[in-house]
Amino acid sequence: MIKIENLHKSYKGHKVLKGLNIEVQTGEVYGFIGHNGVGKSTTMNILAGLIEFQEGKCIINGRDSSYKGPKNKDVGYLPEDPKFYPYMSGWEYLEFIGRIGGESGNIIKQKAIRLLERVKLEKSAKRPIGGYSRGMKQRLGLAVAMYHDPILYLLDEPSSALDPEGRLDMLNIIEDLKGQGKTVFLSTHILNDIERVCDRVGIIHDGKIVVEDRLDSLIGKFVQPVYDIEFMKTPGKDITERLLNLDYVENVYLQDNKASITIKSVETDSQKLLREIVESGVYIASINLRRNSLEEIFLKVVK
Amino acid sequence: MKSLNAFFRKELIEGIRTHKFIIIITAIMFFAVADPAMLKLLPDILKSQMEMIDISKMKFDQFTAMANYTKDLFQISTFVIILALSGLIAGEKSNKTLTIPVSMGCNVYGIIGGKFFLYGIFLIIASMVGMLTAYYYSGIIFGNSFDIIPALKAGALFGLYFLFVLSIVNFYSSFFNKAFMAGIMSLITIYLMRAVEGLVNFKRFFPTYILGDASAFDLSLKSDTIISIAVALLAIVALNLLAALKLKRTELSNG
Repeated sequence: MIKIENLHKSYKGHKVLKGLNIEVQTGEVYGFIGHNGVGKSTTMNILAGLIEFQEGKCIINGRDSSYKGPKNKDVGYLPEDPKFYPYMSGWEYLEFIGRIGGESGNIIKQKAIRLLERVKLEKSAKRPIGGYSRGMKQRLGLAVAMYHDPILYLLDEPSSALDPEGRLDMLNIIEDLKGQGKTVFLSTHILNDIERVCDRVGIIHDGKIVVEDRLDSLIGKFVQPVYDIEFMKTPGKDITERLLNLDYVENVYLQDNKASITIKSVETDSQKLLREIVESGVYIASINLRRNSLEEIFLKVVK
Repeated sequence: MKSLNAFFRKELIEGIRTHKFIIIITAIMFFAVADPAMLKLLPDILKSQMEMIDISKMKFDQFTAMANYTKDLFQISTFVIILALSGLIAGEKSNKTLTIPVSMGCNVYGIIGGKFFLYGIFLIIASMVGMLTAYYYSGIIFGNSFDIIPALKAGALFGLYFLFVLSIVNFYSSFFNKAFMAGIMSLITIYLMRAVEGLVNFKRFFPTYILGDASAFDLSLKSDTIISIAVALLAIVALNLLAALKLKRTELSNG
């Protein structure tokens, strides 16, 4: 659906994208993560055909994004901070979008009713947008992006201004879109959102993708070889020495009845470690292999 | 045409809700009523304030009232129109309000066209109504000294002049992000053009030259004015095309 190859973009000599490569398959929800100012919104704007780039290729559904002719309706774009005409109501804005698409009044009316309900703005539909909160504007922006029922959604920080309930609604909508086979290219700072809805993740750093993988595979790759163990009773200090003497144990941290044990390899050393602990005669209440959250993986990768 | 239609309607809503139409019509209509009234009161004012002035050589008739109105249309109404419309494109760029429409496939020719046609039609109507109001009101006060046709001709020529002013505003507004800058540049261009026009031999090539014929209130259309009308029409098309091309090259992103 999206193919970005060796994309370069500079603003007045400042290089933002330095050979970006991304491929997003049809029906996939792709999470696009990176620090502020690293080029996420620039990439989004290029994909939306709003800005040009100096080098590389950017193909959307088989068509170059730099194409300047009449655009078809296969892309829905929600900017990070969508700007509307403050004197218009949400209803009038959707009507305006419908007119741009050349649709008749009846079709516009039907679509507007459905979309405003979908983003829970039906009660504020006739109020001027100038009085909307930022979260309401983001909901309206999503309704606009959904207007032509596109096959690709470009969502730039869609839940950044939403309250917890609004965030949940937004994630539900993205999950619905995924269920309908739509492709979603999602940029967000809220990594929990990515973990919930994304199939694949790309981390952008210094103008390039530094890690790109399926979410489960990425988390698997970045599993820390650390076991957090809770004992029934506080063990003696000799267990720390006993474990540290093992060549595959790198570190042991013991506090009261809890221990964190770092080993060299989860795959080869886990079994040996557990056997050793059982043989030491202490009783285990719980044992847990520490997993990195996406946030920890992100921080590790961009460090 | 879809984009033009959408922006025509959008500008109609904007013009009503941001009071642009009221501001412009007031700037045009105020002088249509005020100028004949002021001229009627002028002899009494002068008599009471400056007894030394001989007012017998001054003309107090419909023609003078209408001539005063055309001067005010150029000097003051133009100023108000330019300041009211200077944000037409600059405001959209600085507020980033074009990002979503353009990402939805809206084309820039439609954007410029929608704005131009709506305010163009409005300015022509306002100009004609203003001129007719001034004609009738000054006729009531002083009695008619010429036929209605020259007044209609003057209204139409001023309408064309306002279309040129609108095109100048569109042009500068597409180049600047700040409405104030677009307004200042438009004012300088228009006033300078009228000032320079009197100093050169090729004044018929200035679009503002049509104002001279408009203020003459006669039936004929001079050959120089016809050239000036043609130049104004060409300039209107060229300025709006340049505005659209400039907007097309502008990055309208939100980031």
